[in-house]
Amino acid sequence: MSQPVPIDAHASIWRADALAQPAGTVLATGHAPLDAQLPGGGWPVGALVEILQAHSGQNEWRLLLPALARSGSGPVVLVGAPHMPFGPGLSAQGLAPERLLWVRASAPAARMWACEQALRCAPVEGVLAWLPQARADQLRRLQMAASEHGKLLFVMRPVGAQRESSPAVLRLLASLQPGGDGVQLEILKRKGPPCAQPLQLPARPARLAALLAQDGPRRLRLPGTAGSGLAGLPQGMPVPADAAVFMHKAGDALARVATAA
Amino acid sequence: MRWLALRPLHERPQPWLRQAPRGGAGKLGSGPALSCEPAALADDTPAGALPGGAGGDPAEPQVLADAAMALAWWALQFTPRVVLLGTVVLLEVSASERLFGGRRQLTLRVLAAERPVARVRITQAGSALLALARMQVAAAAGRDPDQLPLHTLADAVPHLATLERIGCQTWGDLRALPRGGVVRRFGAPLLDALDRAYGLRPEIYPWLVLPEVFDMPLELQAQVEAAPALLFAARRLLAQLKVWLQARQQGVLAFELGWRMDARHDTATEGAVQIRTATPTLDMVHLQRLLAENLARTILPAPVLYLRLRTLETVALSGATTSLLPDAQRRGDDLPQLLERLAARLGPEQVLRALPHADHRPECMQGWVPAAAGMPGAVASRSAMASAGGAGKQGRRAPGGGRGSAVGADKRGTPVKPTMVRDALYPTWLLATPLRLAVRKDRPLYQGPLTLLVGPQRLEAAWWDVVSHPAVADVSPHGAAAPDTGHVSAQPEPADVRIPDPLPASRLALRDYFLARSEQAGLLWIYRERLTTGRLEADKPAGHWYLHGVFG
Repeated sequence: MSQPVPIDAHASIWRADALAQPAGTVLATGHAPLDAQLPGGGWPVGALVEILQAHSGQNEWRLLLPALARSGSGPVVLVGAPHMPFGPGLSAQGLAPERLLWVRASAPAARMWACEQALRCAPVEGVLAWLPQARADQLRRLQMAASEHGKLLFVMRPVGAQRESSPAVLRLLASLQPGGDGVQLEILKRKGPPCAQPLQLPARPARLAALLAQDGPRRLRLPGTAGSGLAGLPQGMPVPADAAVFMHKAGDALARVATAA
Repeated sequence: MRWLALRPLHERPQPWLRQAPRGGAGKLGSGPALSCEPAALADDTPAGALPGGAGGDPAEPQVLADAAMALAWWALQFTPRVVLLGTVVLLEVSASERLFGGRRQLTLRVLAAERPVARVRITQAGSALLALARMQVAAAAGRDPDQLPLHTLADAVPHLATLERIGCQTWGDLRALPRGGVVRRFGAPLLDALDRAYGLRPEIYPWLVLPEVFDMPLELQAQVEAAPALLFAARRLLAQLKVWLQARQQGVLAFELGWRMDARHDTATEGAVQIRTATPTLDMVHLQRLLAENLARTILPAPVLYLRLRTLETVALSGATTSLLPDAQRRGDDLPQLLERLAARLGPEQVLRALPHADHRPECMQGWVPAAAGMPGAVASRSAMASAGGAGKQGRRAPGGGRGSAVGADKRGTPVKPTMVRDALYPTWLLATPLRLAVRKDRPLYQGPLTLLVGPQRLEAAWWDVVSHPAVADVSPHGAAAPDTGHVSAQPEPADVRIPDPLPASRLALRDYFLARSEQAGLLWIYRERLTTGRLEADKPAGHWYLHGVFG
């Protein structure tokens, strides 16, 4: 008598062969191929995202900067960053340097504590943490804090963490392509069917890539032979005005990029 | 006139020492450390009576006096007319009753709404002396003023023996005597006090005024040997500080918790920690966390006997603006609180924010300064950047500045994305100290040989440092000094007058920057020291390759 209710009528039921609809909001990653593979089409807000890579500091800005640049105006907390963030380079890609809050902590416990405190702070937009030694229970604690307060949380971990279980909603394995011209992204865990093919993302922002493409085929000579642009100037008295100058070859490439942009 | 009388009741042992910490940092608001005694809640309550509470408590007078003072401070939130007589706090509330919704509501509020600083007994009456007298007797005896025993009137106490012999036991008996005879026999003050007690004459008291500076000592009940354990005693002082701040409508910027230690140990006898906050605050939970972090790093050389809390800096605090909309209320801590908490545990130099500088040298383009020391809001830093950009446009730029950090500002004051093409060449990570690279066959190595992609980008900066430095400069000091602008100085200028560089930077930068690709490490930003004549920078090796940045 009663018709069987079609399964699709229940929005809360997730069929494992389709991408899930995330409960919270998402923030577009700025990389169209990646958005297509993520549930909801972007980074989940209020959830733990793990990025595994061989060398810390290699791919995270490339992956995260487009989203962070559009994530509002609150502070972005860096906990245990591998190097010093370079404000002019980040602002060139849209992230205002005054939004950065750089927390230098070396002890793993101190990093965890700082992460959790930052997640509980209302104005903070996102937390980027480098936690090579985090345990699953500690990550779960961070995941709870992120979901409770609705913050972006990205945790960078070494490739070896791939074998450990993780409470992360999304796990990505990022590696450089052999040529060094792209980022190869493998989605290890997502709410959806397993992602068979690794994604290829450009390794550089568009302006830099354009610059390299113009200049790439032509290898530059080494400066010992090429550095003749300023040869006419007296030695020992450095060039006073307009100190940073490009050599003419690079300058040509830059000019082309400038007109193209 | 309507008077409330409050009297603190002593508890033993001290509740703030007895109460165990709950869940790590104990909250100030939690726990039954201090409670009050709902003695009398009827509309015209004659006298609050406690079982066995009429006789007075065998407590240390100093402790009771402290509690009464704390109670009086706390009572200032109900009326400005508070007077402290002995250990009894009297409140004149006739003007406040309507504000708090009636007499009964006010009494309920005194008893229950906010936690007083001590257990209290409460009575009320039409005059202060009557309320005071009712405080001292049991309930039944105090219903009618005429029935009150004479010892409850302070001015009658010296004459109690005489009055008793002439048959005067109660206020009513004394009132029935002929006034002229009473004045001749006992003096005018007795009758005067009786009139005031019955409300026939006005009562004038010196109203309680809060001190300008909060400075409160506390004697510990037991010796405390570990610094973190001081926190539980300090909680009481913090609670009192909050009362003081609320009554004065101020927020604390800096305070000091000091202690005196046992002098029998051959060590220092005093110690203190200072706590500073970036924004004035009333939030004792936050202050308690900061105090806990500081105390956790403190080592006491001897047991502590006394505590003392005093404010160093307070400012007037305007109320917070709350929103009607539920969505506008963001959950979580404020940013200054986060910064202070991180700095308290990790150290101020570990929590940094970027400060842009106008310089060509990459290592000088930004300074990382402690964020907790005066974190400007997003708006403030934006306007600072906007003004910096504006200054560059007007030509008032620092030597060599402007171009490298060309951040303009549009009409709304928001930073415009830099349009310099060269900015695209900047890496996202910078090495704090450039890493010197090995060279094989004229090619720099970093995890394998590097392939140079773009370059060279020539950087010649900071020559002005060298020129104006008398030890290095070849030119005369007159030439290096600022040109004479007509400003007459009284003293001859010393030769080495120059603005000291605030940044720990290498002085002269003669570099060629390259973008290089590594098979393992991705895109790198490297530079090569240029060959110089060696006269200016004799100590700096030339021709070496350095890794300076990573494109992450």
